[in-house]
Amino acid sequence: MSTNDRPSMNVHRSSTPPDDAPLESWDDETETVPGLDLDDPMNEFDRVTVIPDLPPDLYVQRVMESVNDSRIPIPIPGDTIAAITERLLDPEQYFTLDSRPPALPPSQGARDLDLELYFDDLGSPGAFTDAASSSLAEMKDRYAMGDFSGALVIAEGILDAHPDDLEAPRYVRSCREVLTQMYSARLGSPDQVVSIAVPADQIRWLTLDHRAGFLLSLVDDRITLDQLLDISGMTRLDALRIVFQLMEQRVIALG
Amino acid sequence: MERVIGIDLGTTNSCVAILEGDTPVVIPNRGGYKTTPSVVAVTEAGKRLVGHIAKRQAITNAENTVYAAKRLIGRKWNSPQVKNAIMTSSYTIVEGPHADVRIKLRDKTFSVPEVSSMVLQEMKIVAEDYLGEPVKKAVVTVPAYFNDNQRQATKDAGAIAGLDVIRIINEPTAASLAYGYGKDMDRTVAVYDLGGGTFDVSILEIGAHGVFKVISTTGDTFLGGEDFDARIIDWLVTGFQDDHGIDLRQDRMALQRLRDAAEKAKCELSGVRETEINLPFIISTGRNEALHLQRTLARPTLEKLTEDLVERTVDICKQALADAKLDVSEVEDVILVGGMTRMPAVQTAVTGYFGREPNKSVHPDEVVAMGAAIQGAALVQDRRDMILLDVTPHALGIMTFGSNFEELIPQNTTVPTSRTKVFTTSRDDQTAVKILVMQGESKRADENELLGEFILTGLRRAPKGHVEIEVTFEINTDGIVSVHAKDMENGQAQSIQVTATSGLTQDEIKNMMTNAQDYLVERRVDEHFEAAKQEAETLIAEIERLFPEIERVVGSADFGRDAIAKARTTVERTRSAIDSKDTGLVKEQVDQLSRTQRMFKGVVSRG
Ligand SMILES: Nc1ncnc2c1ncn2[C@@H]1O[C@H](COP(=O)(O)OP(=O)(O)OP(=O)(O)O)[C@@H](O)[C@H]1O
Ligand SMILES: [Mg+2]
Repeated sequence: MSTNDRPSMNVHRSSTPPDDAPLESWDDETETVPGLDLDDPMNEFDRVTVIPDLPPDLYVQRVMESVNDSRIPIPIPGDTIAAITERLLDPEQYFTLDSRPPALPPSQGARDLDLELYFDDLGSPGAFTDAASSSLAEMKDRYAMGDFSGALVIAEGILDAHPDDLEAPRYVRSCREVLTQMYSARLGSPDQVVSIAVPADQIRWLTLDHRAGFLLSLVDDRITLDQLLDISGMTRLDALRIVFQLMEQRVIALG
Repeated sequence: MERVIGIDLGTTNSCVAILEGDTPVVIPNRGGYKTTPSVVAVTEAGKRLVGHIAKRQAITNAENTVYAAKRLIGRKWNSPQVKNAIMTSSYTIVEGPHADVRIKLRDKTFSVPEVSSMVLQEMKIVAEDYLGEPVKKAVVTVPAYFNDNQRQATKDAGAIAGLDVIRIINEPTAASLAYGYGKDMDRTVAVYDLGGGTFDVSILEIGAHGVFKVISTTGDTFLGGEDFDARIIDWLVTGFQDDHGIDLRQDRMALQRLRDAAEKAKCELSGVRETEINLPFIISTGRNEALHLQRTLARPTLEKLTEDLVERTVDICKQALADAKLDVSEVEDVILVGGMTRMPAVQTAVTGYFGREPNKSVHPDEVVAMGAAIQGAALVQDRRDMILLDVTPHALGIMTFGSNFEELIPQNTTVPTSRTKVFTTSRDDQTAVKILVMQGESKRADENELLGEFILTGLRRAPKGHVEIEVTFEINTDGIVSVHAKDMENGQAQSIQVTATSGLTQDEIKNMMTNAQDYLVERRVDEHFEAAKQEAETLIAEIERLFPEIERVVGSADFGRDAIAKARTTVERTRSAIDSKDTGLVKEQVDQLSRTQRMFKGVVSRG
């Protein structure tokens, strides 16, 4: 990638001595997040689903639970969890679908994974003709594949266009819940104190938007993660997402 | 000996102090600050925030953040102050069941004493953390102009917070008390109090034996540090608009940062001559691009921006002296109170007007709480020499013919006291008389506050002016006013006890006390739960990390599979215990988990 594309990360990385221990452990960490390659210019960070450090079966079980909770009728044949797990967690598949959604029609993505078999009430995505139902299908596909960020964006889009849609709100709620859980799990204890990890005079050279800038301005080396989220003036999910992003960029540190 | 705390319940900041030995000490809060913003908020998730944390989200969560509740406490729904607050406040003010004021925060409605009680409760906790023991009693300060209802409402706020408010004292009196502490003096002082939201000047006479008389109090309840901050914000916004053509006021996050930065810069300029305001990524212009705000503010610029505000305080000082019928040369000392008096320009203006350097022996933002603490200690130690004599904050009297106010007990009378005056009928053949008991300084009855009324009947029919009625006002040590009217000819009598009311009934106060207690318990339970949950989660993470290894080591041995199954069950049970928020259950599971973890570790180290 070219350095100019994402100056923030490079400025930061180059300012960290190579023998810095935390940097290594950080690099280790990123590997547990499929698709999260910060140096990949194609990577739309916001769309990347973060998978918590859980054993795969537990993870899927949780995802399924949240699906059940939200009462979206998805039949789960008892013996297929392992199979779904395998597919869901296959980084190749996962990444392909996640980072370049437009290149790959959602219906095809779903077929690749044979998900209709398990989620047959989604119907055949190919059957949808108008834009609304195709985005509905894409939302469901993404949801089924574990791309909750993607599903959420679409679900919210559907709600914007059709405020009385019956299905989208459930997906919005469920996606938000799952994502909140995921980000919370990644960030760890809410009682950790948040501190700024970049020298004050370098902050302005990062690439941040005003919301990240706002959160950053609330960090005073005393505030806890929980307090920061409380006073963020955003929804918990948005705040978690930005905090997570700032932490991944090593702009802030928790501990 | 029971400890009594002194609390300065301010419009913008509150402060708590206690007497340690013979020295008044201000108690810092958990963040290390000696004052705590009197700000209460409820977050989107329904969590209650008090103090600095609430202040830092005051703009981004404006509808659910209460500041300056003191301007509303003890006021009636239809008072001009409340009308004004409804127009200027970002939170929703609604009418309560007794023509009192309520504040809506998310889905709940709170009385004003309840909101103030949250601040008092916070101060109580600060003191308890410091002392390591429960605190029950407090002396709380109020502005000298507060009437009986406002004082009672403040007392009620204390009760709701679980505090027995053993005395309410005037802020300037408390400041003078701290100032005169340990000295025997007899002098006239001016207390110049410029806080965050209000400005007061009081002229006091300090006499021997703890007599502190407030001779006059004048002020502006809408003049304070926030106005200074607003000028800096204006300056920053205008500059940014000129440079980038963007109005930062349109964005709440930007405005919140501007406000925090403006106040910080203002405070810094009290110590240094120049400061830099640096707000990176203040506003986004488009995708992935944000602008920075960076400006240097010099002290002379700040002084120019706020010149008229300082000038206004001087005008009010002139008024206070005129009210006290004193010449400025008769003021023997000037005591500075309020954080804003740290600003050099303010000190210069005060020095200029009074023709003398203000007294700097006491800390302006701490002196009021210290005075309250001194008074509290003196009350429980029964040190007569140190006990303030209570004075009536306002004149008391009745309404007479032509809507006039006839004063019986003048302002600043030391209590207990009793006064009697004789009145006559105003019409021919008048057989009944209505006694309207009022409080205030105006000659016109309708400009004063009505405290209560009663009717005396059975008067002899006679031409006007022929029946004499004796009216007696009595105030006991607890400040309770009773009024007694008697027909001097036939001895017919009628009386009334005037009790100040905060606008809340005793039952309501009891209810609110229970709620406040419940909140505290909940908060403690929450802390315990969070601790247990965290411990459990750490253990779960550790156990799950070990699972693959364990599986490898124990292979297909039956006992191993059993153990793994059990471990998984324990983990699941813990998760559901966490989900059900059952602290006891989580704690039980923590024991199981640590046993599992020890076993796993043992297996791995051997394997
Ligand atoms: N060093 C300083 N220089 C200038 N201003 C300061 C300084 N420290 C605090 N202030 C200002 O003092 C104000 C707070 O004063 P204080 O704590 O006395 O208020 P308060 O008693 O709650 O207000 P009020 O008298 O209106 O009830 C704030 O506006 C704050 O910015
Ligand atoms: Mg004050």
